[in-house]
Amino acid sequence: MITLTSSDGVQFDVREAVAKESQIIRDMIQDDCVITNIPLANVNHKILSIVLEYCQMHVDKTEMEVNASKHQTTTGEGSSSVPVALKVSSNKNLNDWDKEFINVDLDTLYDLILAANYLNISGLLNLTTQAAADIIKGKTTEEIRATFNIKNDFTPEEEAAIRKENPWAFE
Amino acid sequence: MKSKPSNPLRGEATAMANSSTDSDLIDRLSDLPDALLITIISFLPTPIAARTSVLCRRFRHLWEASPSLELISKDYLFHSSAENFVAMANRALLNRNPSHPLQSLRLEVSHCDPCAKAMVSSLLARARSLDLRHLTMEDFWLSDFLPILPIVFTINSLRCLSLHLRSHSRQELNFPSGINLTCLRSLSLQLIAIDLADLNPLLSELCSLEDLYLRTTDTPKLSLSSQTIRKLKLIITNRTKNLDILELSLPSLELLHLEIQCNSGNLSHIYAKAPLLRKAVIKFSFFHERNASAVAGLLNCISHVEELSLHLVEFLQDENPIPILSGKDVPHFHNLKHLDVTLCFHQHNLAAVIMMLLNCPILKSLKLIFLTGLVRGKKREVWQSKLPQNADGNDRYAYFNNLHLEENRKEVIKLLSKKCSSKR
Repeated sequence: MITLTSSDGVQFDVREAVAKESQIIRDMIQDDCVITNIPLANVNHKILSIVLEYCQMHVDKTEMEVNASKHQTTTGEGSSSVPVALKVSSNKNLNDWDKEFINVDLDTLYDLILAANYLNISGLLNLTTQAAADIIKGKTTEEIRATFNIKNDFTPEEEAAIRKENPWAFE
Repeated sequence: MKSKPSNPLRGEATAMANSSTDSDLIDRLSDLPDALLITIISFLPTPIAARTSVLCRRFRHLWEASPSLELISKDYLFHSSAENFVAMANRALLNRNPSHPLQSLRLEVSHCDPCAKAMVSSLLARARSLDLRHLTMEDFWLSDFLPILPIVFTINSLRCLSLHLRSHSRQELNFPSGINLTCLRSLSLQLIAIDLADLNPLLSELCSLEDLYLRTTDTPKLSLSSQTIRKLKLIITNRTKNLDILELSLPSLELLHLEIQCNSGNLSHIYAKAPLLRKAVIKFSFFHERNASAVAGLLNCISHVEELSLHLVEFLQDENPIPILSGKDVPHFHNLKHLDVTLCFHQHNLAAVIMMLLNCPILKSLKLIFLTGLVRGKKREVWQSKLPQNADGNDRYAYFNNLHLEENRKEVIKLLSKKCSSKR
């Protein structure tokens, strides 16, 4: 077990495999194998708990694939003919889980991007930045500004000039 | 974990965001460092990426550093002139600032767009000078591709190459010798109506290749041999010619996905030398009795796998079903832990699966999924599912777990044997 402490002082005890989803933590553990408590100055407890939910899920899924049989399954009783039939287990794949996981408000998304970047969790960084790109896709310039509260600091003349530079982008 | 993440936490954040008034709306996107904004932009198709240049000054030039470009001429086919593609390709690639590294390039150029086609070789040469890592060329006609093939195979920095080619006059695709793509890890070839020449000289030169995806049509004989490939996905479909012989000699192979459409062919021989294979997914469609020995041969070659997924679609024209695997041909699967079988579980097939089960000493899980087909003829009842009723009260599938426990195993074999011998 490893204890991760958030910027606001909340401690999380997690398995080493879960913590090691983060490249910087992996490096720290490699450099100093007796380390058990890692303070994370840039991630508050709310975001850290979401990040760890992601890491936990990805570690679990990978381990499950490697050793699917470790997970005990319920033995059907009432059904007359099949003694050891499985319920259709949560075969939901990781991509679907990711999609649901990343359905968060913008503020959380920014924080997750920054946390994934800081902790160097490549899968989560990919997922979060892709989600931000998906929000941009299919929106007009005005809609993108409104969604992200981007203040247009160009004069109308300047904006028109930029549009003229790359007309192929604004058809 | 002391503090368990939960949705209420996220709800709180939403409430906070909503409570802020218009005046203190903060543009947190623009607060992200350049590198992260560029990563976000890299997921956008190039025209949309370029559009971010008018958002505000902060975004003015960010898109130009995007490591990923998608240059698609088809986008413009119906909207406006082909000049747009040329202008985009010029701006985004030919006039790219060389200090911005280019990771990935996707090219999709319409056969009916001569201006765009004329540019492709200069685009590839430019990408080569920028040390391109990933190249995808989507939906090219072979006649357009052959002249530029030598350039593609000299981009020595490539890690991943994906080619999707089609032909309308059955041309042959030959790869040049002396290829020096020593970094190439992943190769994807999707060839439609193209005669594929011997691929092995190419494979022997790709000394880092780990991942091969090959999709081809109408290939009567295919032989693949490589020392380095660990993962192979092979899909063979037919229009005119059928696959007769398949030979795989892949000493490093760990994962195999094989899909063959048998049609009316005489698939007679499948040979696989893959001593390290752990997992195999095998799918055959339009399966005939005469193909059974080829499948039995394949299963014999891969009888050391730990996971096997077998998906066989029968050719359902016969009045009476025949066993897809005859009992005597089923090899001993001494390492097999997980077995999935999808097929029409009529009586004979269920008997074959029971035979398999007896030959898998350490099997842990078994999934049987019934595949319905459109049965011609009258004797429909003989094609019905013989699977036992599952917990959901139907006979479309049956999953069994913990079969390494002797009593579970015996019980399952007993149950299936009973279903197998019972009359409907």
